[in-house]
Amino acid sequence: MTRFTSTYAARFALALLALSACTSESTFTASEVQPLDDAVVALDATRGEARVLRFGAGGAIEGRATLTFDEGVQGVQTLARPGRTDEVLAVHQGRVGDADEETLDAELVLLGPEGERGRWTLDGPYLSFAPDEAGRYVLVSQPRRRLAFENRVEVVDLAQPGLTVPLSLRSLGGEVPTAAAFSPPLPGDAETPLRVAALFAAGQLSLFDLDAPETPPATIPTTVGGGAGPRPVEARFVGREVVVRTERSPQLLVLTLNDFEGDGGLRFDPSIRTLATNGPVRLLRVDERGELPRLLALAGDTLHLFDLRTGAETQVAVPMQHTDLGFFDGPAPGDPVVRPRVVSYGGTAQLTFVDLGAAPTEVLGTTDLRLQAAPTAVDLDTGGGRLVLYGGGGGPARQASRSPFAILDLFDRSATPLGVTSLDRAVLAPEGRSLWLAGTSDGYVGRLDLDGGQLEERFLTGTSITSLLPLAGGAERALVFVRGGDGLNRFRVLTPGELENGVELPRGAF
Amino acid sequence: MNVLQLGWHRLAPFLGIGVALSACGDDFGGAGTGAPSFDAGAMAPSADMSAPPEVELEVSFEPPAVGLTRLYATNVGAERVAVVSASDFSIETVPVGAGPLPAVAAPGRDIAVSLNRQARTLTLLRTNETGTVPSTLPLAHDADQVAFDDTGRFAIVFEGPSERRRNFQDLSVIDLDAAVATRIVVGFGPSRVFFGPDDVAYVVTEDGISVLDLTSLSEDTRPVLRSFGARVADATVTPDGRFAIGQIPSEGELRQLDLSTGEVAVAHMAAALADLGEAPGDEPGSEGMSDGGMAPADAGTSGVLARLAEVTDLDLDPRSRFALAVLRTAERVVRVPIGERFGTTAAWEVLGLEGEGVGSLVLAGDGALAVGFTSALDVEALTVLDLDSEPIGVRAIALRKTVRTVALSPDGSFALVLHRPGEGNAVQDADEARRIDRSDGFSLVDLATGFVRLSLTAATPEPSGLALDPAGEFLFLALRSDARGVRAFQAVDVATFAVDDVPLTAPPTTVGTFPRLNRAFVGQEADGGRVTFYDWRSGERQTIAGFELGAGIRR
Repeated sequence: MTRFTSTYAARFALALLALSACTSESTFTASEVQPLDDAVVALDATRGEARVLRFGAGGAIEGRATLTFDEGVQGVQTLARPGRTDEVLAVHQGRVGDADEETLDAELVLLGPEGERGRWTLDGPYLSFAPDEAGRYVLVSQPRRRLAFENRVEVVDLAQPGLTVPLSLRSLGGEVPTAAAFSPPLPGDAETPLRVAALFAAGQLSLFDLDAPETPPATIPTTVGGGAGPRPVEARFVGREVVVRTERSPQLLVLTLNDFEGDGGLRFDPSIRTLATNGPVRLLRVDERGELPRLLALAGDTLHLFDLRTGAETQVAVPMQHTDLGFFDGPAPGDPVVRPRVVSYGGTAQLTFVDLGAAPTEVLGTTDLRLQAAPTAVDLDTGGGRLVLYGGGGGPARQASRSPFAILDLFDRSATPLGVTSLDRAVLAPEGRSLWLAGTSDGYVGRLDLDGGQLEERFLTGTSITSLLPLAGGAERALVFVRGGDGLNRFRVLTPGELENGVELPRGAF
Repeated sequence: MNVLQLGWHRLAPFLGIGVALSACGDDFGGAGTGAPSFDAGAMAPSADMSAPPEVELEVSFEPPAVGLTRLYATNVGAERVAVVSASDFSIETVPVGAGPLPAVAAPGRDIAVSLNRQARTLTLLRTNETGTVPSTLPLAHDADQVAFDDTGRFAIVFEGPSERRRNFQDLSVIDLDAAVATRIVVGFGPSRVFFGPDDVAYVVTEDGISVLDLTSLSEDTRPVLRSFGARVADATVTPDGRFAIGQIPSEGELRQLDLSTGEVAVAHMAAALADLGEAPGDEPGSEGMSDGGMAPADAGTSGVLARLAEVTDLDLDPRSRFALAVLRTAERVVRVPIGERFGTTAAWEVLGLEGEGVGSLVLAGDGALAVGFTSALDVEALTVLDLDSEPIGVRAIALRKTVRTVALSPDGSFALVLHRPGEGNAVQDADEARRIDRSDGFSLVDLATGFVRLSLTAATPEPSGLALDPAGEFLFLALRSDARGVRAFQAVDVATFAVDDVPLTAPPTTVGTFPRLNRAFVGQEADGGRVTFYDWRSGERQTIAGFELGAGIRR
């Protein structure tokens, strides 16, 4: 299962959930719910409080933990930690003080099923928290003070509890950091592996040594001449190279982090080159399944496959509407060899399969597959070798008014059509085996076992479904949130094979 | 005078046509047997006195920024020049002055000049194995043109004709070895520079030819100015540096200027039409001039004769022996000997090219062969003139499309013909001949056998988008049409005339070759710079891009 993890960061409308616990102090109202491995984190942003429930056998509550931020902090929210189903981030923006209230620093807390795992306190209030794709770092930006240096950010290293790294962008024209990308530890001559942060800003990219944050960065303009260049929007580290996608640009920037041989300054010396594409690049992926990395870029009506060493490329025609790429290994019709393949999809009824050879630019063949309808959403289950194709609307957590219309076998390249009646919620479980289903109005819940094809179902009579939240963890459980005929909100723990026995938790369970 | 035997009756149709044109004021296409053509629908002209002028498109086969092993790519905005090695693809960027123009390299040498307009400086870029060393010299005047002599010792920088020209008479001679610039004032409006033997440069100006002895220049030097005695067009200096030849188009007159004595000889092309009018005369001209020509006939015929005598193209023999004047309307080519017999009409050779439709000529590098064509009329043929044979041999080679311009390989073995597309949509036409007519394309013509290879292209091949391997083995074309999304590079094997497409991701801007490395390159339009090198032996490609961005990295 490669994506969709972050979409479990379901942010629920207060009116929908309002999971209330009547206490002597005040009511806990879950404004956000995040799944964990066999556990869930609920957040009451108003109270500045997060609660963790851990489920045991049969879906019973096995443990609980509470996190309470200081009173008065603002912007409390939860964030999924990319690549990790056992941890969630709870953050707040702090508070700019006044004559009556002191300034509170922003904070970030790492939560696991058992509760708090780590805490980081920033140097002042900040507005923005953005975890990186690998889930190791969080970029904290947009400082807020009476007078704030807006080119300043802090980087939270989730692998080092308590450690934050302050960085100051070299603003050539007053620009401020908008996003960042981080390298994995890069082996080099030095004892300390090189870790590089790339800060994005309008018209430039700045590279910092995370282990020497006080050293001025290397600042790379995204254009030549006097005009403002495009803003970097995505960067991917491939060994000692960084590939950067810039806004609406038909070329990629490739920065090579050469060893710096002088004294002082950065431990690397960047050089730059570009790779041209047939149009503005809308997606960038690195395929490291082979001996040599292969860079893939969707641009215009072309999928470009680049060999980063040589800059050589191969082009594959794809529909302009394609927005995503899925990597999988497996056979194909007429080709029983398990080899790396790519499927390009999105926005149109046509999918394009690309069969890859050993060399980065080697394409053994391409196949177009036309579906009966264009999906509005697609989930890739790499392990299961399938795509789940949805029709209908999007909305919060991409599940409202959405139903599956086909399951595509990536190896056989055939689609099993699904007909649905009064079904308007469908969410794939993190492990990819279970497709959880719901009918909003009649309390229908179901689970389709994608491996075996069996459908379990039951009706939660007298309720309407407000949300479905699959949990990570081996049990493949899901939470279904319902509103009863009595107007009260409850949630129920659903366990595969035991839907009839699902544990319904009363209000106040959080 | 070796005049074609034509009777007076030949003039009558021209007179009639002239009357008809003045009466109706309309273009006319003409008719006639014309040159042979693959296309039955093609029309060759007869003597068309109202046809548009010939359009001369110079095919240089090399962009200006190519040295021996380096490509010099200027980033105007960053005020730097990227020096790209075509052998190992290494890149260095070198700062130049403010407001640089694209650098110009000395042919066959890794030396380039950057004219920095805003800074009024010149940066001399010398590249050796260890890198590029820039030297900046102040310039006392504006300059936008650079001319290098063949020895690589001198360059002359000046401001060429343009609507924004501010410097009309100053130029600088650059001693490239000593990195010294010497300002010199020449005649008004320099336009071209020729280098003769013995380190002498000839600067073509509106006033005549300024003669510069490059070895004895100082700031005090005022060079000799040789005048044609009238304002001439297309002034060209013979390769031996002895004469300059120009023409006065409206007078049908060629002028030869002896650059050592200043003596001017005149050749009236009307004399080549003696069979159509009055007998030619060899009367001496005005003082200081020798005059070859003819007395005008009566007023009625003299205007017609003047138009018949109009020179549509003038070319000089690379071996300085003769000038070739094309009289398109009269359908004649006149070979005029250069030197003492320039104005002696009896020494001229007049070649009749009836129905061939020749308005322009290109000469092979040895002057043994010329190829005639017209860019102004709908003629689908070339006319090959064998200039070494006695009398001059004439052969027609049929084409399938009309001609925009023609370039010859240095050895004269083949011609590259860039075609003009006809009006209409080529793609949607089911008729093959019409589809060909309406398409862009080029032809390669084996001039020995007359074999023609037509290649239709998705965009118009431009003269600036061509490069020829000096050994004559490969020809390279860059094709670009932003409207049609065309961005392509073609490699043509001259031995077989096979055309290979090399796809490009970005629109091409320049094409060139590094003959010593067996590599061609195509520069492309991309932010940060982009060059693709193509090994014409192996077909391998190597693209380097973004090198101009590197200069902007702040560390």
